[in-house]
Amino acid sequence: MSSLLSSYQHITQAWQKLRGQWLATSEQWRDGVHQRFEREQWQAIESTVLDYAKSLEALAGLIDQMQRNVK
Amino acid sequence: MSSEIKVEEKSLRALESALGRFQREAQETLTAVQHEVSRTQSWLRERHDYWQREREQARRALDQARREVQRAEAALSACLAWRDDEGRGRSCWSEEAALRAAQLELRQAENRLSAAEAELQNVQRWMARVEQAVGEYATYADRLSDAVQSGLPQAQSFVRFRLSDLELYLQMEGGAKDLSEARLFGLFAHRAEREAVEKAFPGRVKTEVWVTEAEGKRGRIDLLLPDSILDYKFSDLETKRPAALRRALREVVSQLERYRGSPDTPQGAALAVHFGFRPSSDAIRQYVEDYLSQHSISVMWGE
Repeated sequence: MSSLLSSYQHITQAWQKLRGQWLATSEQWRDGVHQRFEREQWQAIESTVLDYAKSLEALAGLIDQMQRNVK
Repeated sequence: MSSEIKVEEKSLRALESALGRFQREAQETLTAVQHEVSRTQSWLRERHDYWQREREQARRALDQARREVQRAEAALSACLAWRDDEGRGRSCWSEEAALRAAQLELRQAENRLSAAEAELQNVQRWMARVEQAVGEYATYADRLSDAVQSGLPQAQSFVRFRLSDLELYLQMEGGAKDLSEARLFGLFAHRAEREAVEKAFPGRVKTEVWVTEAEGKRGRIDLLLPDSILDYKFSDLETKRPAALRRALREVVSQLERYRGSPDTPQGAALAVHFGFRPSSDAIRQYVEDYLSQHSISVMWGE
């Protein structure tokens, strides 16, 4: 397994843990401040992390292909 | 009510910790990927240099093989032309074999050169593709890095602020045993001001705005208008000794100037501070107003 793929798995697992905690917290925290946190903080973080993970996955795939093709 | 708040508090503390953990893990990932990308690019450059050297060697071998073929052809021609005194020729078997061997070497050298050129072109194509992919990745890595540096700490601060609100509720319900009166009052007053402003000017002002200050630190502005920054202060200036009052005012100036210098606030924003306690002494009020006006900070007094 390439090191980049391992990094991809690392960040996606870390993200799943944070997201799990966010969902658990959301169950307990249901006021306007929660909505504000979600709108002003969480959504930006989520979008940034998901875009990053997608770009890392693409890069890992390309480099893996390159390593098999370059002698 | 208190038990519900305690559950929320526990859950928020877990979220705050999870945000901190993710921040560290995201930074680890960014560092590891950067290292791996550098290593990959370095390996590609090494392969590029290798195939360039192979191509040069193959070219030299091809030149040498061509010369060998020419020499073998000349030797065969000389052999075929040779005649003894009686006009008889001789066997040219070894010259013909040498020519065939030289021609075989030539074909092998041509093949080796084409293989080296193909590999070199292949490496160059991959270098370009990897370069482009790394460029695209870097855009998202920069965004994640910004989130690690500011978005995640800001989210943590938001959660901490919410926790301080809960702390306030719990302390109020429990008689404020462990919270100093000043802190309790500060928390309550900030919250009351925020709610009053949000109610009076819905959507027209921003409250509790987190901004980046110098050196990447974060600061929270109490009230941000399109052209001005307002901060609330609830300490009782009247009870402060002169040296403590000067220190407090220096801190107000420093804090507001940091906000004004932030790239997140309107350029040239006017600065104002609202003191919740109006000192009864004209002299103190005048001193505060004079001190802050030297720094172009307006003063408003509570009643």
